[in-house]
Amino acid sequence: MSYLDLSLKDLHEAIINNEATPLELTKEALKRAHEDTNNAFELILDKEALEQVNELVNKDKNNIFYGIPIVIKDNFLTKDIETTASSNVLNGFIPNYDAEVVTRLKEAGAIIIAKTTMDELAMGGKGSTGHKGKQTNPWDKSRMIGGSSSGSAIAISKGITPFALGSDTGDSVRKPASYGGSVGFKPTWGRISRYGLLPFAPSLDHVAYFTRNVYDAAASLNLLAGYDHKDLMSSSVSKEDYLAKVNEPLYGKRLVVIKEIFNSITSQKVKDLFLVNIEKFKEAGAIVSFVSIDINLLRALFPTYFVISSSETTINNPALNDVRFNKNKEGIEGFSTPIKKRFIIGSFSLDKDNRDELFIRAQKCRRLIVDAFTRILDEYDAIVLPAAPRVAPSFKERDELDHLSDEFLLADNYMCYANFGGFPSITIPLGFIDSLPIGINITSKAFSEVNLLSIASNLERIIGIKDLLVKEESSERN
Amino acid sequence: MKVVSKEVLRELALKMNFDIKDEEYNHLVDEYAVIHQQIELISKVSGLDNAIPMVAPFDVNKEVIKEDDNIKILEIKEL
Repeated sequence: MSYLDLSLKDLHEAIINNEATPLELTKEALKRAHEDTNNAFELILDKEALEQVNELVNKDKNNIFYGIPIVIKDNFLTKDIETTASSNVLNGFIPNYDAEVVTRLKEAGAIIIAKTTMDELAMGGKGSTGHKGKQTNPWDKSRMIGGSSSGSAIAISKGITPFALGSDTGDSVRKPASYGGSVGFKPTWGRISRYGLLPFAPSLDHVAYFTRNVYDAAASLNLLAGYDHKDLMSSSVSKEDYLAKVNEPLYGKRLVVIKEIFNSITSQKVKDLFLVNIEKFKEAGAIVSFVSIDINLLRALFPTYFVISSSETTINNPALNDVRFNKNKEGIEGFSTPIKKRFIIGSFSLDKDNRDELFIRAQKCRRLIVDAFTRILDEYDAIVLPAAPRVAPSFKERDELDHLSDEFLLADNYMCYANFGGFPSITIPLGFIDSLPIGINITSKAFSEVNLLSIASNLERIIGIKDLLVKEESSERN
Repeated sequence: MKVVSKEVLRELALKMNFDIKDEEYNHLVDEYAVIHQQIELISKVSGLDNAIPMVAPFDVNKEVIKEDDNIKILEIKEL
């Protein structure tokens, strides 16, 4: 085992105890990145990473990120380093400043070893629309890892780095975490600055990230959370110590399952795995209830998300429609077909003849959805559900799903409710089905990260799976 | 609401200064038939007409003008 296989916390202890050095770790991470066969990287930063190691003399060795190799999704601006959001339209774009979250990570001593691939401009859930082609699942290369934070999900699953930055607009970190067997976390909307994050749909966009366990997710939030005046949507609610209640007893916590979403899952294996663990949570003292939400409201989750996100991106991205980003000066030919379709749908929804019936109605529906979930979260500590109705599918299986089925509309796409309401939400591994991982999603009310991470750390302990890495035999099997 | 046709979609695309191939338009018209059925599901939600549109999860900040940062300004000769 290499030290790089350790979690953020354990790796930090190894550095403090001089058992591992940042230089060794960085070289190992770069080596692993170059060996990647799942198409995880836009850019591997050999020279820049080693330069950052040399600058560590001025950093605080006690910071948990000191000397830790990390990767960054390519929709975060990185000073003097090409940032494309996996779009041909942005090829050659070199930002002249770092995103706030990148600044915080660098100041803490993190070593950025690569920019990761993604669905183009973060639009998509398959890891297939970016200009570098499809990203595959390290557990089984014939399957998808999911998106849009696909490259970061691969990097964490393969043990290339113990922390991977992503963004989450609908479920773009939490679904790939389920498919890849990692922890995927997005805090409350506005909790982490989005300054320097290329926007997809600003009312839904969250900075999010992957770690190997819940402790690391909480420790990372201690660094990344906090007001930033450069982001007008940044929250001024005081940050807390997010490690304060990690591993506090679960006894008396009220967990709730939404019946209609759970019942829409067709895989009995997924249902059984979830219910077996629900019994374990009860044995540990949790009080678990099943409640209903109007199924018509739940069926409207995905279309509401689709209309709002497509409309917002159409409002936000005309700036990209500029000849300076287009080598051929023929408009935005550089976009892939799926992204052009999103722009057309967004434009259609915003058209003066359709706006009230589509965009405004979707915004009204969002209100009703958030009200329904808020009422539940006011009564319970967290909503728990399988993060997906199945293990990672192949691209073909994904394309053949019935997009009007309850399973697709509910169980496959429900997690966007946390983006609608800005609720903190985390996916952790739940178990394995046919040797492939699947996750459980836990969501709580806004600004209740301390409570959420406390519950998640307990569920992680009870489930008994953390620090998962793709074993060598898994990748060789492919 | 406008009826979706190849011509309507082309008009929208051109407004955004791009175009897509004929076969892509045909595919999008077919795809929109499914999207339209999904969007119809929104209409089945009760209480929609009286709901207030939600534009963001919540008001996070009252500041509307951000403070300037003092940063080093490059000299002309440095450009």
